[in-house]
Amino acid sequence: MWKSLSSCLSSKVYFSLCYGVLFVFAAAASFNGFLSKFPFIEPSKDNNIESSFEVTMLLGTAERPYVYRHLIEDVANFANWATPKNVKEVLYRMIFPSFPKSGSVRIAVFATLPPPLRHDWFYRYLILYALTFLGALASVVTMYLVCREFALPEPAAVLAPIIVILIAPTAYVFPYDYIELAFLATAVWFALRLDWWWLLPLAALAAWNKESFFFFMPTLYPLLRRRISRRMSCVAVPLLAFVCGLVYLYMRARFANNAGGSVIPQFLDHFRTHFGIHDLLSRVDESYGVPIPEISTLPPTVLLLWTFARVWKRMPPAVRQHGLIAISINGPLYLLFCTPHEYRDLSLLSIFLLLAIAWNLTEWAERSAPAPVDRAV
Amino acid sequence: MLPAKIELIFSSRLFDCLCIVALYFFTAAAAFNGLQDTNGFVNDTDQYPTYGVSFIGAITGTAQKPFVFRRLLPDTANWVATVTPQRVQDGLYRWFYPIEGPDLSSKILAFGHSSTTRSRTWFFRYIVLYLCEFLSALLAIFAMHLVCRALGLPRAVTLFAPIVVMLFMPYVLVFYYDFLELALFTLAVWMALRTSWWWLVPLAALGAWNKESFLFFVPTLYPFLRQRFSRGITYAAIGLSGAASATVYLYIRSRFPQSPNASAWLQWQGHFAHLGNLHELLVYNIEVYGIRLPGLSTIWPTLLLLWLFARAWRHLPAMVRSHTLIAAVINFPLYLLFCGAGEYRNLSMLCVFVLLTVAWNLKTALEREPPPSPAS
Repeated sequence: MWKSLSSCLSSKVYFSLCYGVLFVFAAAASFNGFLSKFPFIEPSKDNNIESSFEVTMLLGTAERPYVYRHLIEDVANFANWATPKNVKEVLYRMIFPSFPKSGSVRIAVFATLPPPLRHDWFYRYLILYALTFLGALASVVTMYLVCREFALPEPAAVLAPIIVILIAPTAYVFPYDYIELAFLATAVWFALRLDWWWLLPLAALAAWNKESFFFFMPTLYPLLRRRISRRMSCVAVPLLAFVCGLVYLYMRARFANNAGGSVIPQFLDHFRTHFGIHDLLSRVDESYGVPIPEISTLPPTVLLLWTFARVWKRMPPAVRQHGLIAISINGPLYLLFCTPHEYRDLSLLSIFLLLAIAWNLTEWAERSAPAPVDRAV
Repeated sequence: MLPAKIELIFSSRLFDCLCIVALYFFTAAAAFNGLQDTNGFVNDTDQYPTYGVSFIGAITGTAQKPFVFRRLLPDTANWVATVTPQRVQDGLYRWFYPIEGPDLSSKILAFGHSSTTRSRTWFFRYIVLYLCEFLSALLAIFAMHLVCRALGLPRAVTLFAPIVVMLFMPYVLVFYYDFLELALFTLAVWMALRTSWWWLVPLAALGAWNKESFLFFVPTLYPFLRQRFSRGITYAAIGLSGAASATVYLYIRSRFPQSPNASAWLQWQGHFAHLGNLHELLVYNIEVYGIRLPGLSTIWPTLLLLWLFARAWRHLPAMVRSHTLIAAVINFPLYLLFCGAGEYRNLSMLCVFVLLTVAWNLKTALEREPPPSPAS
């Protein structure tokens, strides 16, 4: 009986369903880890949220360069303007039920929003919250698609994205980090799969989310070469970078009067902070509510480098070139402009990391399996 | 070239171990964090009465029966607190809360919110219980890995199935002792498959100390033990382990004769009400990992679970099937009689079955397509 049942419902539907559920849970676990570090809503004592980071982002008063990363905030503001009042009212009642029996707030984070401010702010917060989660979910799915595109065996293709998304909260600080990861993976997938001009609108959106996407464009060159000629690739990459540049210049003009600077030179800090014993060994960070060594301390860094080194030779030349271009762009930028210890700023390497993990898994699974005991399954 | 040298210096084995430990650490932490964020050490609310199983209720033993019987972790926390010198505890407190005053900021964000964690009396025990719960999650994921290995599953599945099961745990579990229950059940199965049988006796005592359900889990080990031992030894192992569990349970009962409520609550009427309640079956939803999801007991997740079981059943080894049947025969009547409707957490004796179902499904999913040749 079971046999007929399982044959009439096709395996494809079944496994898509299972993968879908698995990816939702992995993304949600990662998102939850991020939530326990990043206070979406942080009202001060007098119920004032004007100074909260996300509110300054929504109002466009945050400091540069953070204020340039404005995609989800613009979406939230637009949705807030475009959504009819009664729809918002219905949503409001769903999140903050009025009858006392189930008096609790339906999304725990929103309980910290002070009651007088709820009507004005909950909707924009809700959009940001949903988009960040969707960013995490889209990252997992697109990373899976990227792995499949490289014809990696199924176990590696499914597990590697889950590993990357589970590690992400150790490094991620802002909601736009998740969206960035999703865009990076989508760009690689587009480059491998679709006609290159599909990348143009993607580049605009991604640069709107974070200006770093401009620097990601050259790393797509070896991947684009799989589908199009050298000459076309040489046209495509500058054109894509140009689109990113335009969006960035627009953002600069839009927030020209904000405090802060377009970049924060932090070159010397790296020397000051990277060579102390304390910094190398014992910096502790909290992720998932558990204290763990910060990812920039020596042991995790060595493990990461080891991960790359082991499979370097196994990876296809296109991936190696992609990785080399990424590090030669991202490395200097990191040293010049990024806060020491923030590996999040090495984000251009995230797809390379994903593929390195995937090839490690492949190699690992191919080595001999443990000897079965008794009756094997 | 450098990479080749590095590969020579360090063995692959070391790398594998480091990576698996790191990966399992993150997965357990993610699941633990999910459970802490949804339930914390649960508190009573209108929506969800928890019969005094808050942190204080557990530590002081003032929770209602039968929750008060789940003593292993609270007893550990109390014991650690008594043997640790006050000086050390004070030092730790100052390290956690460097700034004195009303607006204490804590070193561990997860500790910042509750007034319990800030009280000098409870702070240390809170840390110990918190850590113990996390370590239980870690133990659970490694135990699941061991069981998959002992059954000779393919390597990728052995690595992957525990991660999947672990990520789903906050969806199912509620209380601080649930992770440890999962860990000890799984560990018991591994011991039955791999170690000398008498190791089961101390484990059974610990298991019953953590939750009385272990007493009922002991008979389900029979098929695993029978693979390796004679009938006589198997009966002896099960008898002794069961006796150890029962002794511990009776001892713990005698410790809390005055606690309110009954040792088991008859709740079978609830199941009928549950089945007749369309709202419960279709739209009931809970927050997991900060996301609203349909509750596990609603119709769609239940169907997916059943589908998962149905596809795997025929392919599981005979001993796993017998184990499952025994567990189901014991667990379902108990569930119907004494457990809250729709609380699949209480079907915990089937956890090894669920793990192996997931593992088998993964095996099929991962072998669906033959590994293609590397591209470009």
